[in-house]
Amino acid sequence: MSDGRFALARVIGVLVIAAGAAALLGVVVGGNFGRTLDIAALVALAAAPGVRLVVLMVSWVRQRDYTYAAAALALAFLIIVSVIGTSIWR
Amino acid sequence: MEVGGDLLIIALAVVTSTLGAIGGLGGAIILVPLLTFGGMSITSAAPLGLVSVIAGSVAAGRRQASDGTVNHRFAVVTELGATSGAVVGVLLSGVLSERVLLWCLAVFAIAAALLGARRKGMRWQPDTNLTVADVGERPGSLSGAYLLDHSVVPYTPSRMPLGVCLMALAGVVTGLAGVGGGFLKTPLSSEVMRLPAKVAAGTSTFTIGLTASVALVLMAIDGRIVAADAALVVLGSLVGGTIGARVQTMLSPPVVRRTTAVALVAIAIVLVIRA
Repeated sequence: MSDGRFALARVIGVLVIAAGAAALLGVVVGGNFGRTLDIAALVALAAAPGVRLVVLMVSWVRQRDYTYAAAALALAFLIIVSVIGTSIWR
Repeated sequence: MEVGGDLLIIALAVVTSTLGAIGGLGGAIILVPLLTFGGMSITSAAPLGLVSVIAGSVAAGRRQASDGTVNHRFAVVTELGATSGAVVGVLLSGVLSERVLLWCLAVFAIAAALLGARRKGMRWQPDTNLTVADVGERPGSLSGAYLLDHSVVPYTPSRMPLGVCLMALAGVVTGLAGVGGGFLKTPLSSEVMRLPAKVAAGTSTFTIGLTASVALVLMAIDGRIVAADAALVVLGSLVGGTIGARVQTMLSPPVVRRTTAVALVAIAIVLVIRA
């Protein structure tokens, strides 16, 4: 059952380390540079679930599992539309 | 903020994210009231709750992906229903009073806790014919196998149409009430769609991270995030999510179910206090 779970775990691990290091440095350094690092940590984190969805979609296409790749694409589309729609509606 | 206050935020994030990762409940529903009890306004605490959910979800995801305790295909299918429902819920916000909604959610949390705690033993048993190479998802289906101690447990979710409809309904309610909904998704996956308790928790941890990241982007557009406080929560929740995923690996499925039931009762109490 090869589904690239270790590759996915590695991608997640890189994001965790990047976000954690940026947040830790941001807290320790403080000031404007520290704030920039805090924001970088938040951006890395906020992007992580979306990156994970894209990685899954690509791996499912590679496995020729087109049904679930299409479902992931539909979910990504739904999320993007809901973000844009909600921000305009509010 | 003082060093003591910073350390308190980190400690609260560690504890709530650990609990959240064990049961797939997120933990923001507990963290946000705790922060507000400490004097923080709900406007400032809510984005920190989302940051905590995302950080806990990402940190736990690494371990859960390698142990096969996340079924991503199941997550994507059910999340299509839950996200559609949440959009409808947001559009309908104001139709029901917040008080009524919170009471409904509290009753659901108690019912889910009782359902999970009442069930004995393991629904899915280890298969000695399977090896570690079989751990993971089965391409083209929602079936899979996860690692439990040194054995491999295969599973196949069932009652998917009913489950996805209920997920959509849960999405409507969470959209209306403005809560994450991890405490609805885990019991629905486990008790209705018959996913193993650990896989239900791991899968829910992934989906709530996805939902929370969308909500966080919306709050960032509104300029509601204080980066310095958020960085403290990131630190605490990354540690908490990692600990939670590790602890979940060591616990047996019935213990995970009982721990989740206790957390659900705590959530119900928080919801009743909020109502």
